Order: sequence, then structure tokens, then C-alpha cells
Amino acid sequence: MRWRMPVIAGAGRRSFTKALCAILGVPLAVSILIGEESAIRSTPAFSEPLDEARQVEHVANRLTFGPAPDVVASLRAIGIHKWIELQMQPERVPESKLLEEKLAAYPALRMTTEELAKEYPNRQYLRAVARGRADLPTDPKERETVEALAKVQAERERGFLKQARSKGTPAEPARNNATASGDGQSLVGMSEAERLIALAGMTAEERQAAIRSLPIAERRALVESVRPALTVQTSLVAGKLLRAVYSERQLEELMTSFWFNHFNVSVKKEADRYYSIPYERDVIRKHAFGKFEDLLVATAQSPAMLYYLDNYQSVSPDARLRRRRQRGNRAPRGLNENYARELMELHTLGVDGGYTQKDVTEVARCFTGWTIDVRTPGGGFRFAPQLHDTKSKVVLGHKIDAGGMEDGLRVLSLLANHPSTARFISTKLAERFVADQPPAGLVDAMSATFLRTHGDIREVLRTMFFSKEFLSEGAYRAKVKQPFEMVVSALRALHADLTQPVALARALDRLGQPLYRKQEPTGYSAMNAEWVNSAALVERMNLALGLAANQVRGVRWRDIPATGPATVEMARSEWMLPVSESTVASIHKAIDDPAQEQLRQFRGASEPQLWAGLLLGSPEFQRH
Amino acid sequence: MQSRRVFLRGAALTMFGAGSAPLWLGRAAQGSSASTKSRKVLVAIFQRGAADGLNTVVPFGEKDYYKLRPNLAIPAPVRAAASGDAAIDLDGFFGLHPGLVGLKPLWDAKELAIVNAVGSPDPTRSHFDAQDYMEAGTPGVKSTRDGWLNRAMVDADGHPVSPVRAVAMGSALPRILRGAEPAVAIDRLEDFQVRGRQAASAFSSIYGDSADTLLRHTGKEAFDAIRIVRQVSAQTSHPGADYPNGPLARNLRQIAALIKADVGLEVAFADVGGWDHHVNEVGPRPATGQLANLLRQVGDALSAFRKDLGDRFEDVVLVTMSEFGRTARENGTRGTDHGHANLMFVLGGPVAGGKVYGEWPGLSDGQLYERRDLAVTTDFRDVLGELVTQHLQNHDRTGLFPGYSLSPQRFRRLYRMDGAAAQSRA
Repeated sequence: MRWRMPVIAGAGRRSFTKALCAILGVPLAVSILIGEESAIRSTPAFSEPLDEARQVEHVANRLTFGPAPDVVASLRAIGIHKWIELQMQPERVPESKLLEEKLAAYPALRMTTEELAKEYPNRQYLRAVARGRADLPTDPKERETVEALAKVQAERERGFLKQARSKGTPAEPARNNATASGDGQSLVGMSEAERLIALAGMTAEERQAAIRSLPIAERRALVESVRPALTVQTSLVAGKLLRAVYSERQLEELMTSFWFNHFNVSVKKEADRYYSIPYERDVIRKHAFGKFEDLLVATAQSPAMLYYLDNYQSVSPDARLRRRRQRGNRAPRGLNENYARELMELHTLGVDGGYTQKDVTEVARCFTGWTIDVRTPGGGFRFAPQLHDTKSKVVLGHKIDAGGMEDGLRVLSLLANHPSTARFISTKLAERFVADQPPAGLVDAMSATFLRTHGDIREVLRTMFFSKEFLSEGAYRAKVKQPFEMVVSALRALHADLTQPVALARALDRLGQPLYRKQEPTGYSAMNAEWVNSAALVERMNLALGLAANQVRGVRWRDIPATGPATVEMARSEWMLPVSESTVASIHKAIDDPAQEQLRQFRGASEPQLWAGLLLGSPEFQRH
Repeated sequence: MQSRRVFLRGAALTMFGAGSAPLWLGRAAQGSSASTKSRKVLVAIFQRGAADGLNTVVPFGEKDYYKLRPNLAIPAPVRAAASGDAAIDLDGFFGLHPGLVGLKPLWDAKELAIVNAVGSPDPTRSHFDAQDYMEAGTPGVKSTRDGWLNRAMVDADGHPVSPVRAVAMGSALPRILRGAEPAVAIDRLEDFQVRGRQAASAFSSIYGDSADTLLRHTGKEAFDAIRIVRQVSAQTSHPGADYPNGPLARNLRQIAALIKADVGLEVAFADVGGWDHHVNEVGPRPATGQLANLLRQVGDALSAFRKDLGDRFEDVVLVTMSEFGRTARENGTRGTDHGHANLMFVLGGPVAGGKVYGEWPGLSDGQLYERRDLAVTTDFRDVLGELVTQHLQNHDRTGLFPGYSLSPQRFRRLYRMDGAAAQSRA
């Protein structure tokens, strides 16, 4: 089909639309309303209660990463209220043994930043080692490993050159006597340093052949030992996927995801690879149900945030003069407003929360000297008094002149307890858990709880979850799953075994939600419109088909119903998915179409697998 | 803003239905518009990692260049014998890196312009931040929600737009193209489909009959886009277009296919990485090595792209950018570190080419920015602003780069005013 667009220029187009409406006999206003969802999610819908069966279905979908049989059983056994209370106290929920086993394979997830920096040296450090400009570990074994890594790294950076050369004359790689054969097995028995030295002595082709000849488990270990910085990132990604799929503490994982996204940092900014593991564990998850102010202070003092939003290099303009004198031609530094702005716009007050550019500058001055301790590798928060602007400031009409680190803490306290913050956070929570346009009454009630309890997150959630609006027709299936939610819920529906989380994570890149790589401080939007676009929908359909047919790398599942109708039955009872009759009819029509007889098989998928794939890719499954 | 536009888009689809609409609309539109074939396309290429501009367009007329880069400098052009190791003379002062030999015919045909010493007023030397600023189009401000290439499109204002109006080659939609106007990321045109005919037909009917308004509309839109793209992928490139290997060439070939198929493409984006050459930027000779290999890929790919487009090159402008430049001085490991100003290539039928634009700030110690980097004399927004204003005819001077009002006085006038711009005024 070949088609052309009208040339678009100014006012002509508007009248063109009107003309079309006239031709079609459609009143413009009416036709516009059909496309908008809020028209059917009116305020009355939020006072219409759900019957009991659908209440369970709703909670099992909205407050988890997808219903699993035990979730539904538990909801039915102890009731919705008790189940939610229990989920909000995750320490009382025994964690899945399977999850703990799987997480054990990622030691990085249990390390401090300092341990991570030591265990997984980054590129800059290795480059410096290669140039002979870095301090080496004193332990001879560790030193050997680091030197070998630096060699591998330098080798990889010369890769381009080598490839180019090998096209003409064969490359003559530097060899050593450890091994230069392509036999990966000989690498297995070696110590890490020996192995790295051996790898450094190979050509790129030999190295690849050696790695390929190993079994998968060994292969991962080997790749990780050669690319340490990448391992930190893959551990982070694997941890998130595994927890979402297997954790019994589903609401805690949802809230961790929510707050990480709210206080977003990105591993695209290099050092944040290292900072993100402790950040998620010790800052976000730790305070997920706690006091908002504690969460806010913890993020403000995390190297992850200090680095991501540049506050670590924001210094008083007066301090700059002193620095210059000390360090000669070092790049001049001064006030950096990034953190101050995002703190108010994204973390607390919201963009319409009533602050001015003047407030941004004043807040930035309060946070001068809040920096990262670079004196030790993997150092944490440090307040550097000599970089702090000591003059008094005025923030949102409040005079702040405590001086020192107290200035920043005063600002955080002021913001954490501000009515705009109460409203902004309540709205954002309701947008994720209730509907894109949550009813004003609910947001009011949540904001009131927020202010009354000084930002007790658990209390605000109680107000929301136990409101009539949450268990209403208005909220029921009002939200489109974000890609991460869609993928995880599909795995949970299939009782899938997630064997290689990192391979599955690539699917999320294609769906438009790469994990931990959201570049902007805004985090991902929770709005339906953000996630519903043609290319992403095609990816969802393909992923659904692939998952059901057991053709997605890193995921396996076994229990397949015998027939299509049995699959629909499973979707309705176990997945808690209200599959529509029209969807069932469409599938029947396509599968029973005699013209498609020869196409019955989808790339080796059985008919029930095809049914399952179509259900996972259906409009029904895209909502929760 | 966004919800309004999405909302209107939904409305338009409701009015027209999907599937048959574009054809019908195309016929209806023909009476009211000039040739739809003259649809303008802006292609943006991002060189991620901060390319070394000083070794890309070589200031061989500048003796400081040779002083600063004893191991890295590309030799001045040798006029007698064509040497593959020397810069290719452009104007007696600047020369192309020999790897870019493929671009010389475009320069000679005045289809290629160079803007030198261009960059961002923000001093950051962080790849992450500088890319973010250049994609958002707001130096120093991180909170901008959308990218300038998305804002560059004229607001469709409720009008049905092509599902492939804005395309980024790759698996994820990049920052530069995010925003209110619909934009899609496509990695490979031939893969853009639901796998398995039976599944595709089932999905098409599941979504078509769904009671879920939002997903029904988008589902229809998706199957429309698939039908369009499947047509395109069947096309082959122009026989004269000899695309090299590599991801940039593959992506340019796909962009060219979309342009030639005339499916409503207006803006396209592709990136090419691997420019962060701290170590061994050059090989045994300055004109060899990592940078040379990459530049050859880029030059050959662009040259093939131009040939592939044939006459359609008249409607196309392609612009390259990189987040910042590299240090004027070479470092101790045959490489360069993070710098400041860089350059942009601008090529296309309507470009007033064959000229290096922008004031040259010089490379002497006092002329360097912070005594180490090429200084910025042209704000990157003035180059992009001129192209968006003149080529895409988007005259929103304050909306394209929030916080920065475009002024034609600052434009470098690298867009031919006798060309398309004049036509559209007539």
C-alpha cells in the first residue's frame, strides 16, 4: 500500500479536518472524545465498587508483578486487607528460597561501593594502570590480576586497529608462554590472574573461540572476569528481574521500582554503575515504606545522586577562587544548579509546586560542599566545609543560615513536609496504583495523611489501598502495564524458569524500557499513552509469541495445557485475565481458517503455545 | 501538551478509521496540495563518544596544529602526488582526513558544507551530560522532557500523520526523538512485523475487534505501519550506491529506502559510536588507525547514501553532530582527551556547500578554550535552528530550543535560499 501525505502548512490543515468531519457526518467534538480514555473513567466510576471476585483479581494484578497461584490463594485465604498489610511489612513475609538461590550467583549485589570498586576495577582505572599512572594493590595476587586486566583492556581498545591490520597482513599478536591455543578448557583450571594473562596473549579470534568452547556457566564467569565493570551492571539488571519474578515480597519490589524511578539515576553515567547497587539496596529498598524525609535525605547523601545530578562538583563561587590558587589551571568550578532544580521539580514540590528560579539558586547554595569522598576508592558522602557557601540564604521564604551541612538538611526537611510535596507524591502514587487521572478526593485524602504523619509512606499507601476509589470500577484495569511489568507478568503467568536474566533484559530494550538506563532524571512515565505506540506494541506481540513458544533466550517453561480452550481457561483462572469473547473468537477464526492450514505451526510452536502467545500479546494482557 | 496531542491523534484515527484511511486520505489530499513528493526530510547523525574534529577536518594551514600534535597530526596536502596519508585540500587552509575521501565529490558539487568550531555553551566534559544536552537541545538544563528532533516536526495538530513520520534506527527511541509527536524506533525494516502470518492475522483481528479503545487504535496503527514498512523493505538501493559494511551504512541504507518509498518520513536519526579515542587514536602513521577506520566508514556510507537518493537528495538535509570535541593537544598514549568545540557536516541538495562556515578561533595557547580545547564560535542550536526553520519550515523560534530564542541573524546561511525555501514561499 502506497500512500501520500497532504502537505501540511498552517491553518489550511485545520479547515481540512473540519471538512473531513463534515463529509463523514461526524461532529468534531464527539469524534475527539472517543479517543480519550478519561471519558469513560469519570468520577462516578470511582465510587462504583467492584464485586468480591474482581476485587481479588484487581489486587492480584495491580499490587504485584502479575498474579501467581500462591498470591491468589493467599488473597482468598486471609482477605485483601490482611494481605496488603502483610505486604507492607515485608520483613514478615518469608522470602522465596528459589529467589535466594538465584541471587546467590550475583555476589556484586551484596557488596559495598568500596568492595565493588576493588573487585570490579573500572575502565578509567585500568587505563591509568596501563599508562603506569595508577596506584596498584599491595597484595601481589591482586596486583597481578589488575595488571592482567589492564592488559586485556588495552588489547580490546586496540581491537579496531588489529581488525584493520588483519585484513591486509596477518596480525602478529604478542604471545606469552601461558597458552595461546584456542582451547578454552585449558583456561578452566587456572587462577583468575593466569587466565587473564592467557587471554591477553591471544588474538581476538582466538579469545572468542576459547570462550565459545566453554560451557555456558564457565563462559559467563570468564566474560565477567574480562569485563569487570560490565558485571556490575549485569548483576544489577539480573537482581531486578529475579526479584520481580520470584520475590514473595511483591509490593516491596513494586515500591522499590517506584522510588528508584522517582529518584532516578542512570548507569549510562559511568560511575553510577557502581553506585546503583548500594543505592537501590541501602537507600531505596530500605526506605520504601518508611518516612519520606528519611528517603529524601538518603538519596541526597548517596554518591549515586550526588554524581548523577552533579552536586558533588557544585562549590561556592568564593571557594573557587581558593581552589584556583591551589591547583593552577584546573577547570574552574562553581555553583551547579542541577540537583537543586530536580530536587524541587522532580523529587518533592513538582514543577508547579510554587518555587522560583531564585529558590533554585538559593537551594543550590545550601548544598554546596555536599560531595563524594574521592580520597578512597568507593568513597561515600562527604561534607566539605571549605567548599560550602557560608552566607545566609532564603528558600521558599524561609531564612536558612544554620551554616555548614545543616543548611542542606534544613532544605530537605522543609521540602519533605511541604504541602506541594504531599500533593505531588500522592498524585504520583495514585497515578501508578489507581489511574492516569486519579480522582481529586483520593489525592486530597492521601495528601492529608502525608502531612498529618510527616510523610509516613506506609500510612499514605494505606489511605490509597483502603479507599473506595482503589477498589472501584474506575480503577479496574485502568492502567497499561509498563514493559517491565508486562514481561515479568508474562513470566509469572507461565511459571517460567528465568535462567539468564541478562538475555531477557535485552527484550526490554526493544520494548522501550531499558533497565537502569533511563537517561533523564524524570524516570519513566507511568502514563498509559507513554507506553502505547505502534512499534512497541509490535515488539510486545512478538515477545509474547516467543515466550509462549519457549523461544526467548534465558527463559524456559514446561507446563503447557493440551488445547487452546484449556489455555484460555488457564488464563482466566490462573492469570486472573478477563479474556474477552471477541478475543477468543478472533483466535479461533485465525487458527481454524482453512486458508491458513499450512501455516498452523508458528515456528515450531504447538497450537496451545500459539494460543498462549496470542493471549499474552492481547490487549487484555497489556493492562492490569 | 503531550496528552492533548495524543488525544487528538486518537481522535483523528477514530474519524478515519485505520487501514483504508491513508489511501483515501492520500487521494483526498491531492487536490489540496502541491506535489507530495517534495516532502522534506531532515536526517540527524550522532557521533557518540566525542569525535576528534581536529583530525576530521584538518586545519593544515595552522602551524600550532602540528606543534600540538607531533604524533597525531595529519600531514598537509601534497599537491603533486595524491598521497593517501595527507589531508585532502578543501580551501587552502582546511583539509579532509584522507579516510573521508568519499566526501570530496560532494564537496566539489557544493552539496557538503562544514561548520567548524561549533558546540555547546555548556562547559561539561561528561559524555553523558553533553549528549543529553545536545539531544534535548537545552545546554545545562536536564529537566527538558523531549528532544529537539521531535520538536522540529511541525505540530500535526490532530491531523493524521504517517506512522513512520519520525524514525530512529535502532532498538530504543533515543532522547533526541522523544516527545509529543509520534516517533518509532526500528532496528531492521525487514524485522518490523509480527512473526508468523497466522499470528499476525490473529493479532490484527484481536486488536481490531477489541473493546479497549486505546489499544484498538494503536493496534490498527501498528498494522498500518507494518504494511507500509514491508513495502519499503522490498526496495533495493540504487545500483551506484556502494554501501560499506558497518551499522551506520546499514542504517543510512534503510533511511534512504524510507525516503525513496515516500511513506511520509520527515525526520530520521541514527547514531554511530566508538569515537572516544583516549588511547591509540592513530596507528603507525597518523592517517591510519582507529579514527581513520571509523572515518572511512562514515565517509563511504554518506557518499553511498547520497548516490542512493539520486534526485531525492534535493529534499534531504543530513547533519552530523558529536557531544564535544577533543583536546587540541595529543595526550601521552597516542590519543586525545575530552575537549570542547567540534564540527558539523551538513549535506544535502538544498545546502550551500563547498564552504567551511564559522569563525575559526585558532589554536594558539591564548586562543584555546581553557588553554586546552578548540573554542566554540557557533552555538550548535543556530545550525540546527537554521535547518529546522528553512528546511522543515517550522517557524516556532522559541519552542525548538526552550530558553533560547532563534534569531536568523545568527544563522550561518548554509541553507540555499534560492532552493526549496524560496519555492515554498511562492
